[in-house]
Amino acid sequence: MKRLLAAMMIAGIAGCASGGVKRTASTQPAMAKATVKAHKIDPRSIATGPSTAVKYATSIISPAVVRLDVVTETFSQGQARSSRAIGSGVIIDAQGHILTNFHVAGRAKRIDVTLSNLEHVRGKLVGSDHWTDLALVQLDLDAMKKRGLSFSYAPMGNSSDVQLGQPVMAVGTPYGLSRTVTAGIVSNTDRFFDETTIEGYETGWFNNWIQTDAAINPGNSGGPLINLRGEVIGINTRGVSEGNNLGFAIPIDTAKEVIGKLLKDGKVVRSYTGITLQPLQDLETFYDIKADEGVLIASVEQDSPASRAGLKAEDILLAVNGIPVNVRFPEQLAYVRKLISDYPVGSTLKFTVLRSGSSATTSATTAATTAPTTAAGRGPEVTVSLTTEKLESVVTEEQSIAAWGLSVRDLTRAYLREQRIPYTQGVLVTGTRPGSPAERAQIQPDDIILRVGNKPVTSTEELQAAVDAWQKSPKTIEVDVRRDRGELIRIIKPESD
Amino acid sequence: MPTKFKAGMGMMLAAAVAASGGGVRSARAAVDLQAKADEVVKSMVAVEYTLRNENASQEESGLGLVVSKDGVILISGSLIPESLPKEWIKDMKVRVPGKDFASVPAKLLGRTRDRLFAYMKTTEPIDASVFEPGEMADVKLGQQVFSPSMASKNGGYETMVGVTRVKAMLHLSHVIVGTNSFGLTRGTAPVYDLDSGACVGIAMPATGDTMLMRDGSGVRRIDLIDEDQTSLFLPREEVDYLFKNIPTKPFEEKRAWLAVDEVTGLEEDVREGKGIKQPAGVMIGAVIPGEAADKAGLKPRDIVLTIDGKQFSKSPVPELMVTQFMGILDRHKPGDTVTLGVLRDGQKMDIPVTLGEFPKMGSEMPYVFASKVGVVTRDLVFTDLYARRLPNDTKGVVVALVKNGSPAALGTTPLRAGMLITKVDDQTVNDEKQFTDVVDKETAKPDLKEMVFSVILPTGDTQVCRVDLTK
Repeated sequence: MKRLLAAMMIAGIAGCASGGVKRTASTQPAMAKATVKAHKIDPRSIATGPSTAVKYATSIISPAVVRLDVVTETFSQGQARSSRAIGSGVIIDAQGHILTNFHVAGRAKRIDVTLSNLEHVRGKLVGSDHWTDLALVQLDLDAMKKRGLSFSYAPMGNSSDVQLGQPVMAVGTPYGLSRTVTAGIVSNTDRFFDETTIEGYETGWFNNWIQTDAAINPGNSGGPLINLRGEVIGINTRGVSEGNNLGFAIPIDTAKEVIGKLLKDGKVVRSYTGITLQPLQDLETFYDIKADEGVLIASVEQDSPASRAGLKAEDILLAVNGIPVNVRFPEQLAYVRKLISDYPVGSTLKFTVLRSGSSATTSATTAATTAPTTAAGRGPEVTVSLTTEKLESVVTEEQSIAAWGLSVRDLTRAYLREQRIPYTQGVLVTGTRPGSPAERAQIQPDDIILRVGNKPVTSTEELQAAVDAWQKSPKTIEVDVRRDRGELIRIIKPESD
Repeated sequence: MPTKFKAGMGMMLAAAVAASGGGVRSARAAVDLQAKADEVVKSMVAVEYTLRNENASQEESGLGLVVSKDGVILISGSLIPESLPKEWIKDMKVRVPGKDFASVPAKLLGRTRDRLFAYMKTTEPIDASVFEPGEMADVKLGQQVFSPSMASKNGGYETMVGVTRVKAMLHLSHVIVGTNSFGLTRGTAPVYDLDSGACVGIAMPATGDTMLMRDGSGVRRIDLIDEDQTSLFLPREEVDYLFKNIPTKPFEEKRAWLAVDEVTGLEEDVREGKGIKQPAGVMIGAVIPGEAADKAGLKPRDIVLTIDGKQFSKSPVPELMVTQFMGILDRHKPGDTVTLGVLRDGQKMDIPVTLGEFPKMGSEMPYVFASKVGVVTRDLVFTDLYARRLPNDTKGVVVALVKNGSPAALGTTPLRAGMLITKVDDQTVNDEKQFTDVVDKETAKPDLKEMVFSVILPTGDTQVCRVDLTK
């Protein structure tokens, strides 16, 4: 199986890049109409030949491409450690905003920017969105003014009119080699990947990818993919670890929407309904539907807006608020996911569904007599209203509780849902330091700390407060944890014991 | 297809070598081994059956001990694995060595509660001596023991004897005696003291360096790392019952079930931290809703310090306290009441629990092969639902295996082992019988092109899988 890697370069010891990032999403109906728009080529490139066009385009983009040296806090065996990573970025406006990947700078504690003229400037994180693997960093303009430094920003293109075979270039810092330009063509305009995670953070749900054979290596992450006009059409993000010339960029149209939200709020908020979608290819006969209608609701999460609204697995979703949806192929999934998640949290959405076969007849309203059939057959059309919740991540930022040698994170409902744990309040353990009080008490990663000294802890802050109190006069104290299906008593003893 | 049938007799030669060459030079038997072996093999029969399905056919054989005049035979529980579909087991019979190996058809009567042994019965009385263990004796470390036995079919059913030394007493859910080398060769062969000739136990099937032991929380693997390989027998206290109530009719032994989960041994830190005086105990991690422990009011984090007033013996390996606890429970029958002495929030209390019945394990359910689809399924059991955290009223069948290259294995959404099938072609399948009926009916259709399965994935999510039957 191919392994997709985030094209980020990790320097230093703390390994993390490997978290085989796969996955994606798109901003347009993937299999939509095939209106072919001629790509406009700069007249100069026609007049002077392709090599001049490449030189022209890179001359436009190069001053806006930066190298990012990022220090991130990573956790290993219960301890926070700083790790360094190198990535790329592109300056996108006069305010010095740099677009890059979440997996490069999204969790940065410190960002050093190297401009194209080799000057170093500090950058600060404006916001990030792991779902699309994008982050926004801003140059320290005051410092730059004092030092008399200037910068250029890149022209933005559109990814909606990108064409297969179109010449493109990637600019970035592969393996720390700053200001590297590679060239190739668009190998695929609409590449689909299954959703995946970056260090636990879900990614790649809402877009498809532009595939290119321009060389993309670790360190290219966050750098621009440009057309012959020097315009940014994508953000280089992934490669295939055992492949050659297989690089993947987030379409700039996806990025533009995210940039707008990050500039406004520093984050992207999306709606959650609790359904999992499945393409309908080859199931049309079984459900007696047309080839271009609907998407199968494969699964409905318990205790979700969808389950509360009465949606069922194997309902076929035809329309959302009257907008028809169609997922015959996996390439169309991201579009429908995005359509739904883009509604403001708390929106009431009308889902028009076909209730197929036996699940239709089990509803009280229909009293059809059914002879056993080989197919579910086309069921009645039903409209249900559901109120969306906020889409949350399974994971939250890790923190260390140094006195006990613990790293922990807050529990989320998404985590409990994923693990199928009944609603529980507590703090999730992610690691323990060898020899620490927590490790000697045999507290383990994935334990949920429920109580300290018989007092419930419901957040990392409460746990930190309990440990701070304990530290003032360390003594043997009981800690109750949830492990797998059960509860356990652990005994924390002072380190000096 | 599960063509991995157990053979098991491969170490016969090794055993012979060990017995003649290894560590028994000091043996000066007070007992005439030849005479004892000649006497014991008169009670031994060869148990044979054929495992046959549409893909494979294999002869199986093992040792049986005749325990009653009307042809009841004691065999090792593993000789006929429980998960084998009954229809695959053909031509079950015993051969009586004393009677020119005449074969007599036989049927399984039932298995002991711990599943280590089973009884079978011939359809007519056989001409063999009935085995009598006599007054059984205890064993000690270092004691020399011997075991007369009969070689396998490949070994021509010759009489053989293994001599060895007791090297360990393992206090697991059963007390098990480990001995040097493969001195004891075959399951259900009786083991005798070399000096007095008293019966001290019954040999377990040879297992090499590890053994699988079943206790209240399922099957666990126990490592017996050593320079020698180890053979094992069950001592008097564990096998006494085998000869006391010999069944004559088919029976089913139910196992008792406390219905708790995540049970851990009481660690020293917790014992000290809680100021517990008793040397040992177990902590209940979870109680299964609606079952015995829950009904009796047992709660997570309860620490059980006594069972029917008796304390546990201390062990530096907390896990062994759990094994001990489960072992005690395993000696009870469903419906028995045990009183657990429990520490909860600093308060001691006695909690009587009426034990329930242990749910069947997946491995005890017959496997069924749907050849046109290419999938092996079995009935759902409690543990399938519990492990996947699914509601107790979930119905369906478990996909145990998908045959490589079969229609079920191909396609964009293939069936995979571990899935639960809930519907086939939109028809609800509540159990294996319904599943088989629906699949048989569907696949009998002459122009069937596809089948659509509604499944629950191991993650708990649902999905629709389409099997293309045109390829």
